[in-house]
Amino acid sequence: MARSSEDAGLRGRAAIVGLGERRPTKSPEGRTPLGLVAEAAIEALADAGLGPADVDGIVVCPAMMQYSMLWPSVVAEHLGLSPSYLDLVDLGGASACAMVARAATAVATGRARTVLCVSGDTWDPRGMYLKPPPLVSPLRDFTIPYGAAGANADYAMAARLHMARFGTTERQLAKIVADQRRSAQSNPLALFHGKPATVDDVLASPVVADPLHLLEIVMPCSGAEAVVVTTPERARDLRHAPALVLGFGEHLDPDPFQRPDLLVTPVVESARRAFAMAGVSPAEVGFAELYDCYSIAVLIEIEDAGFCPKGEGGRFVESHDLGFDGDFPLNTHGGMLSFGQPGLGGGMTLVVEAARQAMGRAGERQVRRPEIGFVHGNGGTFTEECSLVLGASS
Amino acid sequence: MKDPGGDAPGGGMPSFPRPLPALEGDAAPYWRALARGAVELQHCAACRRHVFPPRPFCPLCLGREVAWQEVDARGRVATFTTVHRATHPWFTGVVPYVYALVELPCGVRLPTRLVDVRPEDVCVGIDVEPRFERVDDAVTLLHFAPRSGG
Repeated sequence: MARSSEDAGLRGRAAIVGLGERRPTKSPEGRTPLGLVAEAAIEALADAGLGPADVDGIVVCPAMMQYSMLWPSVVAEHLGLSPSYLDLVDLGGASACAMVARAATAVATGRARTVLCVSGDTWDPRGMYLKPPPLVSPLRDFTIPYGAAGANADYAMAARLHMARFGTTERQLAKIVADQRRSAQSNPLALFHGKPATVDDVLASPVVADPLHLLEIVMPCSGAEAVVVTTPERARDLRHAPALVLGFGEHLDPDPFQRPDLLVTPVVESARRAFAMAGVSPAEVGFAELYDCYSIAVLIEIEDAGFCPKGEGGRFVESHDLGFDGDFPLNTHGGMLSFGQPGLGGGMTLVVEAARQAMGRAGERQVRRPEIGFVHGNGGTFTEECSLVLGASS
Repeated sequence: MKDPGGDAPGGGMPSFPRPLPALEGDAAPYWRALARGAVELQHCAACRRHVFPPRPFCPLCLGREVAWQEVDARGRVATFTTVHRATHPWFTGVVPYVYALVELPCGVRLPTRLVDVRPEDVCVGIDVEPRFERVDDAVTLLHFAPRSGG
């Protein structure tokens, strides 16, 4: 791989060496976000063969159901850690990828040697209504009074426009869900394990916000995930062949309603930066884990990350088998649409699965080409974006 | 946003009042204009561009020379969705309703609701005109309806 000027010396300078992933549940089952975070952290460190004394960095993201100031310190104190690098990443659905990007930068620059990235949350809709986490956004005064609390309506409008402009069909969008659900049948942790769904099943589910059906909308849940990031040199002495962090990129668009083209998102720039740092092209990607809060989010990410031209996403998903054993393995553990979405850090389950595939540890759902994987996190309504390129080490 | 209200007695789900905008702050002149039946936005003379949501500067050049002016509020539907399941409790009594993004001639796209139309008659690109809904003495919301007579 030729060195580009855009890798900033960061390409391949960090490695994921440990994974933690709790079984998601529909209700909190007596757990707290802090408790879930601790469970995932302990599991990831044990998986790496490391102890608390080995960790000198920690990166967390907020928990919606236990929103707390000083959260990095709270988590570190709870785990008995004494880190020299602490960070909070608050980028909605982009948080998980951005947490790994910060950890990788810290490790590559010597700021820290071993960084724990951990996210976790519970889900309780009643709690969400009674005590929503604070959010100051002037735009909300212009959306919620008109009936658009939450994100359903905004993504539905993106889907409607994509269909009107490019002829994308409901069946094409539903196929994304159905293919992912097929992969989830190889993932006992997924909320929808044992519950396959066909394209017709997706289209038979209730319309929530036209044209989106219930099964095209992610199910929030309780859960937690963690990864341990360290140097490739340190990784050699550890338990598993690591997943290398080859590239990352981040980008924000200040207003999803006023962008020149409503369907061209900042994914274009975050992915471009990640691929440039990694020195690879979309055509070299062997599997993709794309933030799937909604079916339409996946379709637009496929286009804007460069896997197909703008407007051809519908035909792309129709003409490729998106299962883990297909010709375009996508969201290989079922995606959040099948696994569940544990809070703002829900994207971490996509990072964990990508690392698992790149490490060659995905078992019966191992992809055929694990050498290069692309992971994407999307926050807001295609507002803040972060992309990662991971690579196998062998 | 106004506070969604306190706990209901008896420990059940509280009743949720209609979510309404905060009328003070940067957008105060916008809401006052709606109450008069006019749509006003800020305009940056340097960038020749309107500002939305309102703020005391232009987000393109950060210049503070932004002046309120009435704009033509006859627009077209940039995109829309028919909401069948409400995401705010107050709207459970309103579904199904059409939530839309309406593009005004000045280029600004406003999130809004379409009224006086059957959902199945809405398409991307149809022409719409404003419908001012007076909620109370202070608050008027800006809805849109298909333009009569083309």
